[in-house]
Amino acid sequence: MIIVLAIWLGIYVYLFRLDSRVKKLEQQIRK
Amino acid sequence: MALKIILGILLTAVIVFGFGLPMSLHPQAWYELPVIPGLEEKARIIFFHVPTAWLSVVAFLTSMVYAIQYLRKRDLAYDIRSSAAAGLGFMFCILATLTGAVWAKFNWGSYWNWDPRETSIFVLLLIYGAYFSLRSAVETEEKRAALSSAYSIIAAVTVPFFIFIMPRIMTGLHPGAKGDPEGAGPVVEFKMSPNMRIIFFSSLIAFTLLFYWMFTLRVRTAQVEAHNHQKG
Repeated sequence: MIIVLAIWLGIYVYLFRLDSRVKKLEQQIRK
Repeated sequence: MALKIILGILLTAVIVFGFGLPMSLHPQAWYELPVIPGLEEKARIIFFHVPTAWLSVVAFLTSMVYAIQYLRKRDLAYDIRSSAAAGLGFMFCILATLTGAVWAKFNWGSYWNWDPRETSIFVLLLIYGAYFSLRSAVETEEKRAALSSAYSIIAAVTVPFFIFIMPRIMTGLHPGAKGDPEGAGPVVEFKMSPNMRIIFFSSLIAFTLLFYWMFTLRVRTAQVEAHNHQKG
């Protein structure tokens, strides 16, 4: 359970960081 | 933002309860999962295997819808969506194959048995593997979009046959195969106990939210890439 949970939380944090990075790039394009 | 937080809580809860709740032959308390004869502890993988297989179908059909939109309107934004959905469908298809292989090893004794459902998912992986080969082989954007859209529609037409029809008309190891005395199995016939059902449907919702988030993220990334490509 702990291994699966660690993999999931790793993916979740990665997606969150990617999401905010893409948001920054989109804002740069709009400027 | 709210959807992302709901997804985080929901999938974490599915993992904790799906793996953590004890199993009992005669469940008394709400938190005890019933033992399914022949599956025992292995039944827990149902919370992850079925949603990944289901999402691959959803993703391939989404890819087909956007492929049709591209062929009608010739807008490359639809091609980006179509290929993003196909990519995620391929990824979920691989996850369904891997979780199924682990389940098969402990239930049927071998990772791969060429059961009709295993064969059909293998053929689907080949079909969509060819989709990405096709995309990488054509350099002109419009030509690539048109060819891969046509291919995506034809490929998606085969999905219901390989996922829903073929495994049911042939004899096999999966529940629901032809001649299976137990019928379509606990998932299709909704025979799971209420607590298992809650975890199972929460997992379906969580995986669907995950697909939606990954899909929009992939589309947005591709749009930024396309913008930078045009600029540079």
